[in-house]
Amino acid sequence: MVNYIDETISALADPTRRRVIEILLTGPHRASEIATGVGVSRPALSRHLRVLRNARMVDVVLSEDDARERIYQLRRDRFLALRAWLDQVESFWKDQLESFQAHANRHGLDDQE
Amino acid sequence: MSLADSVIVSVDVELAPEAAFRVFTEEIDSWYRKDRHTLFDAGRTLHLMFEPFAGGRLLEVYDLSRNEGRELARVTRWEPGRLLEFTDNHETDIKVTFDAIDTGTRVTLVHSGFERVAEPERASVRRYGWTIVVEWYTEYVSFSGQST
Repeated sequence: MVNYIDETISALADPTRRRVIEILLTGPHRASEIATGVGVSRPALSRHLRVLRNARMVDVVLSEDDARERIYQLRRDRFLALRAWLDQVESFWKDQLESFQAHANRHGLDDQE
Repeated sequence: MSLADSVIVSVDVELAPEAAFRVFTEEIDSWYRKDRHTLFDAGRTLHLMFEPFAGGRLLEVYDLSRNEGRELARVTRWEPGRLLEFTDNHETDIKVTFDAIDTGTRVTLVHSGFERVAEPERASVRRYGWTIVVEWYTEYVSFSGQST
């Protein structure tokens, strides 16, 4: 368990791998697209992708157009925690602003006069 | 899947922008929902207030005689009737704009700064962004370590 966390953190500690994650946050990409986006050679990228796969943060899927082509995507479950957190932030502010709205419409007109 | 890099929420109120800004700031104690999830110490908080200037604090006031307590956020921009910005204790940014519309004011809140996942340059300047994500990640992995 501890080793697994260490593995994850160290996988994320590298700037190139964080760039890979950034690209994959926008959706699945071909290895060639990732290499171009990150600005590294294909062999270098392969090493980084291997680390991310070993850390179980990235999956390989096969292209529908071309079964030989590898497409990489983030493992959704690994990022659901982040998504859930953002949803919580949104619902927190929605609550607060609705309360502000109710208060402003109830009492605010007094201020304006 | 994609992840938004900010949270945006807006409401319309039946007030002019100047009044909406004033109610938002001066009367925050009257409208802000206060409980143990939204405050550090709901039990001790007597009052919530903005110090009305850039550099001022959003305070949980524990001592009414001195208006002192715990800082919830720090005001970075204070432009009455237009714009309020503050930075919370996690160093994330909250920007509130007040735009005139036919029926009053549209108040839009943008909360950002928590998703600098892959910006190493920025992470070195604002280290917290990356640190926070790693913390969430670590927590998440701790909880879900059994899954494959």
